[in-house]
Amino acid sequence: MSGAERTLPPEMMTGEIAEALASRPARRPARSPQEWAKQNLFNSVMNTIITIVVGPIALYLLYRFSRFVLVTGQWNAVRSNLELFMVSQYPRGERWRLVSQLILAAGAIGMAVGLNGRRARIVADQTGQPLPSRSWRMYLGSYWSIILFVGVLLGFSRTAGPFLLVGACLAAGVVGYALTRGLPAALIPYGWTVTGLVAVASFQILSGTGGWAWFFTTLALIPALSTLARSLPAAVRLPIAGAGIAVGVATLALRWGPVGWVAGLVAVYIVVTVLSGDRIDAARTSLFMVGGGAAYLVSDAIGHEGVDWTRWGGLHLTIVVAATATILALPLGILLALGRRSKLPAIKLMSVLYIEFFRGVPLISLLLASAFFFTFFLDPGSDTQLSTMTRATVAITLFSAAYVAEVVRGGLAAVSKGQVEAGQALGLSPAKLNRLIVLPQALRAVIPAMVGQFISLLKDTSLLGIIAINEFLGVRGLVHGQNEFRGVAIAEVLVFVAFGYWALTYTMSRESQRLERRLGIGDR
Amino acid sequence: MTNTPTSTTAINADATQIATSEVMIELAGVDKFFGDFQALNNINMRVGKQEVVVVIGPSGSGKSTVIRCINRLEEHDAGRIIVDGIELTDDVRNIAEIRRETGMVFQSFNLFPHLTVLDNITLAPRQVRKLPKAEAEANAMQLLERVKIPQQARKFPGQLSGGQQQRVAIARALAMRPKVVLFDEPTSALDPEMVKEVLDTIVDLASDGMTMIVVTHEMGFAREVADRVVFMADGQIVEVGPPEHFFTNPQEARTQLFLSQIL
Repeated sequence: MSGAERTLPPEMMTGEIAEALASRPARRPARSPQEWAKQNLFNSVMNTIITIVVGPIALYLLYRFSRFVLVTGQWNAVRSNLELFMVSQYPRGERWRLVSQLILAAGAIGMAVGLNGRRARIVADQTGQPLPSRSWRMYLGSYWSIILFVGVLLGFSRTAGPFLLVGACLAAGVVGYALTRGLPAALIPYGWTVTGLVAVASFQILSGTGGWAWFFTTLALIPALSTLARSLPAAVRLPIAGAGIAVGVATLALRWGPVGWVAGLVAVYIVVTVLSGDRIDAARTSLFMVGGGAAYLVSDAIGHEGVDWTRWGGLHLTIVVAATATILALPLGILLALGRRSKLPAIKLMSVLYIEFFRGVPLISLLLASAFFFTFFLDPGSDTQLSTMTRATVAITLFSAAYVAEVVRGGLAAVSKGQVEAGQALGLSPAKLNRLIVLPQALRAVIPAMVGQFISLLKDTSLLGIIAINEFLGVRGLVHGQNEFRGVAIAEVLVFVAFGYWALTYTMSRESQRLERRLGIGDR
Repeated sequence: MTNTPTSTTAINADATQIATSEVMIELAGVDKFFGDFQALNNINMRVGKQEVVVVIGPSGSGKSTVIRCINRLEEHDAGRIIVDGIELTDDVRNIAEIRRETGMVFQSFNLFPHLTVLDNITLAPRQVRKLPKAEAEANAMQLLERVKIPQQARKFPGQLSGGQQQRVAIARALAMRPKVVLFDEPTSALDPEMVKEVLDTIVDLASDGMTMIVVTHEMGFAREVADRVVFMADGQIVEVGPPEHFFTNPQEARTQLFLSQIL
């Protein structure tokens, strides 16, 4: 600010000008490199000494590292094993699945960005707050690490395939963005559902339609069904609730699996909500049940076979496991955090025991347990044999959820007592108070810590190597198992893998900062 | 009413004053402890329909605790509290019913910072009273007109001044169409220049016939708006009376001391 103010004589600082200056970000006058060095490196005796001592060391290290990267490094070990690093020993004939997954995922991301921007513009129009201006420089600042990583991958590749793939992904992203950025406000929830369905489809092309496909499909349906339930005329809400119960009972009768179990619980919930007279909630829950039932039947009917998880690997597997565990650990952690603050002693005790147990044991021991003796407890000799991958993902999820719970607890404690009292005074039920008042503020307050937790989770997946799963770091073993690279290029491989992890986690960290700034708007 | 060493005058005054109209709120022998500290000692009070009762007293006298007990933000330890014929017990349904009938305005506003002004006001009508969105928003806009800030509807609380925030909080309390509104020192957290706009809003509300209990330090306002003034000290009701008597001719020594310090 001071620089801009100095350019005006004091008598000219009338209210209007001062206001204009205040609303504009201060711009410092350009400084020459000599001036910069003088102000930052040699501005005191102590700093001059530090600069003289540390400067040459830093320059020397930079020189050695650049020389290693650009001249002496035997990057052939990475270059010729690029496929291994990306997907390990994924069967060649099934590569189309990976390609379509990437393209669909890129489309979904484009749609999500478009929808989010649309929402931000609507809010900005209504509140009269200008949107923060964004430039290519800002995007570059946020994503340069991941762009650099993709660039390095493309640089290593020897065929046109990867270039075509990156091009197709960019195109899909742009198409998704273009489709959603002008969507009418009323259709936004449906846009989110379509986006979610595309994301689920992208995953299911890979892993088939068995397992949890119905569950993720139902998750994707939530925005649309929720909006639909609210817009239903009051007269049909009760019949809809009845239909939901019918579907629940039918699913129970058809198959006593996880679906039937959840369906039973939800049917009970609907009966309770219908009885308590909250018909919107009842209709909403019923629609979820109908949607879940439909998703289950559809995924069953399609009967699409996937590639078994045991054949996945490389960076692809790392991202899939980390993303799945993140998506599942967040709600579980929130429930545990709420449970820990519950007034019911049984729920509180169980939450505390869970959190303290999983925080008290090393992740490695959980992974080993999940690989070697977990099934003893579950269902010895039954037909539902969970794959090592599934069990490992569950182990990481359960482990992370305990940490997420502690992070969320910090956020819950940060919400002032007055907020709770205001909600109580308005007659909100404890559940609604948590969902509408406390949690939104608590989660907002802990975004940095939460993202930090998920960064840990991503890096923790590198431990999967010890139970013979070839994730990104584990591919290292395969590379050095080859005659050509036995005992050579060890540093190169590690530097490459570390670079890959860093590119992903740095992007996550930048995204969290952006999210924090954007959500901070309402708090001022 | 058996162990009332000091507040007999209050009860008598109370009994004579209230014969006029139906009773909206009744407190009988209410005690409240925070650990060993007795915050309320045998509080007896009746508030009639459309009556405005102003509670004053030194800090720590239990003024806020009284109104916080009425909508169960604090649980009373003894005595009875009856709001519009519903007794406040441990029964969750009764508590919910009373909270629906009772609006509250806090010293520190307690608006929800993550929601716009309009969403702050429509939240409870939509979630608790199950009003459709359009109807709730139309009501909210009317209320914002009434507190004279309709143009702020789409802003977030953090973008408003303290006085505007408190007026939004009043609109939020009114949105549930309560039969009683409780004010807990509504102007104490405001900058001096904003006190008037909030007090004016409350005066308007009183002239519309809303039943209110107002805890305040604003004596001029108390004199203007109150049907009755209740003076509390050390957790007890010391004196009750219409404002003209109360301010000009206080009976109790404790009241005289307080007024001499404050006026």
